[in-house]
Amino acid sequence: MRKNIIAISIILFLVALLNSQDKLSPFDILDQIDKNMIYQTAYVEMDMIIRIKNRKITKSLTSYAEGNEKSFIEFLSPARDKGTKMLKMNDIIKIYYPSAERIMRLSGHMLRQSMMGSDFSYEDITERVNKLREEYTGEILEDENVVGHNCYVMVLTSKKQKKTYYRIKIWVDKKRYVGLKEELYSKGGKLLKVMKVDKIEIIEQRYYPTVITMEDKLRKNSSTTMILKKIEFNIPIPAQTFTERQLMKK
Amino acid sequence: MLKNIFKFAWRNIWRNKRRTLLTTLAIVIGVITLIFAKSYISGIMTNSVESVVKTQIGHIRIVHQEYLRLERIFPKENLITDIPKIRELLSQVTEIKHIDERIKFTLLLSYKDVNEPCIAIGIDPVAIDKSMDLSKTITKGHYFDSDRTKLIIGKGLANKMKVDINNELLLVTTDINYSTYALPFNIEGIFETGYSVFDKHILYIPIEKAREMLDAPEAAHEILIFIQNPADAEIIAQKIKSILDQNFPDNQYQVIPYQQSDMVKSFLPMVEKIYDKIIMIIMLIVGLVILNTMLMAVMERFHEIGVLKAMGLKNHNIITMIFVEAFCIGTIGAVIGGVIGGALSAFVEKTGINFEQMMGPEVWDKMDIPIPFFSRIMYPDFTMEILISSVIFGIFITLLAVVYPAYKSSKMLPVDAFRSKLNI
Repeated sequence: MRKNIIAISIILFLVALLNSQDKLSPFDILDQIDKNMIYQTAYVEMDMIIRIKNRKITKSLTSYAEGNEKSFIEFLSPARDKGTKMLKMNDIIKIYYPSAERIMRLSGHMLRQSMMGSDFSYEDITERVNKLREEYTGEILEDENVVGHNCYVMVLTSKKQKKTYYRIKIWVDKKRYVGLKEELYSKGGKLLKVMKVDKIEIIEQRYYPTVITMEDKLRKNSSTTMILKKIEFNIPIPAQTFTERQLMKK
Repeated sequence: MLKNIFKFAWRNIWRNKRRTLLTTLAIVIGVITLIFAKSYISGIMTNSVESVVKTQIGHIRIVHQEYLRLERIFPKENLITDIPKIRELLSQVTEIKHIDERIKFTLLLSYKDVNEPCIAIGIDPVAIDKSMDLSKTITKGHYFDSDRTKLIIGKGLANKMKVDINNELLLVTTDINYSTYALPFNIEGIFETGYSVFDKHILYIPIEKAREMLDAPEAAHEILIFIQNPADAEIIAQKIKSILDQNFPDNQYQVIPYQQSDMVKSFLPMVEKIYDKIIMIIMLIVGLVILNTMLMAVMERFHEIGVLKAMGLKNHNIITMIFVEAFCIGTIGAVIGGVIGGALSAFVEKTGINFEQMMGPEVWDKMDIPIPFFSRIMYPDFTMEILISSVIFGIFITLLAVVYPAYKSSKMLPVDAFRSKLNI
């Protein structure tokens, strides 16, 4: 009998706890987005268009990814970038340069560098939601409209003082659960980067952003647009794709 | 009577030897301090211009006008692309001693798991050696030879990267078309210019390799020109500018004599202002020390001045006596100070002041002084002008110091002087 009382009280306590948490947290929304984006494996062909000071540079690349942790990117053009390959394993990026026939390993604050001359940093393509949950606190603001779509608006603030993006403001489409816009701020409140989703397509029954533009506000008159030309989900990935040997392979 | 006054004064000086010695000593030390401080600061100023000219701007510098505007962020694209033609045009200018082309760009340096952003300067190893004796700064390994796949790296940067000679570094940069390009280099030598900014952030590579990395053949960011007589830099710069403008109608190239360079024109006057203030403070302190010592020396003698007055000395006699005393002590002190200070400064001018030794290499290595011409070894610049002005200052301050007590004692009644020794 006594055991039962304890068991019941524990259950009641847990129910109370659950009820108290029914208010939506920004991270739940982000998890929801991630679910939308989630895949076992993916193959993508895309163009990266860098616009800077009246110049337009197009780079094309292919990418294999397994979950959030592993990805392998190969640049196909322009000529000087052709054959440059990147292997991302969690927070470490290895890059192979064909001109030097050497591999460089990037980690830590070096990931803040511009990726291949674009407005994206290596960090921008490696940060994930589970990390956001660990490192930021969040709050939800009033809903707003972004190009005709009703959006959740949330602000994440870093727990650490030294984070590159101290504050992140995200607009999430309420209906489709896709992030439409992100503004990244420094600790001093300076706007560092703006990311916008320009196009969303339905791919294999899910909403997926296919055109994304990033503007690095510290570079004058600069933006980089990623255009996903071909996406395949849950395809078999060739063995040994995520290895250093594959990087070196010609 | 006047002769007697002089005799009085002279005897007074020798009467209380300890007091005289102490006041003289104050003046000697004051003058030494002043001479040394002035030589030191003058040394910083002359060294600065010279080293900036040698290492960064030449006597005359040609750059693309956009490069000049954005120089702080090392704009890769704003290159001088007509190098062969400019070289040909410059060959007409006979005053030119030599030309030193350079490419500067930021890059990521990688060795094993260590990555570090730094600045690469693409150079012609022979030309830059004429400008700044780069080969003499090599402390380990060798200077460039004919092998163009090697680089030399600053000591501080090498320490940060934990690399040594013969290690292979990977240099990664974005070229002028925003493509990423990498090249491996072996470390041929480690240099130490003594300038913190260079030794901790810079590596030198052959200019052909820099051009390859940036995808900019036959181009350079700057052309440094060294001429026979630096004083003519402004005239020759004008001449070069008009030659270039005739041949490149869009006037995109700037020709800057070192006197007009931002570094010399805006930065140095700022530094000069700061140093002027420091000199003022030193002069104030030296002045106060002498003033205080002299004041006490005269005031403790009010009693005997009262006696002299009672004996019939006139006010102006008293004043003359005090001034003669002060002049004698001041001159002796200032001259001795001048000799010692001068000798000391001239000696240190030869040996230099080694900050690295003073602070210890560990502390020096950790310090990061963002001034391009703050050298490890500083050489004072001692001149006769500094010596003479400091000696005169010493004498002047000594005389100034006795104005008040002389005036006071002349106004005093002998009775008052007897009653209290120090009635100010």
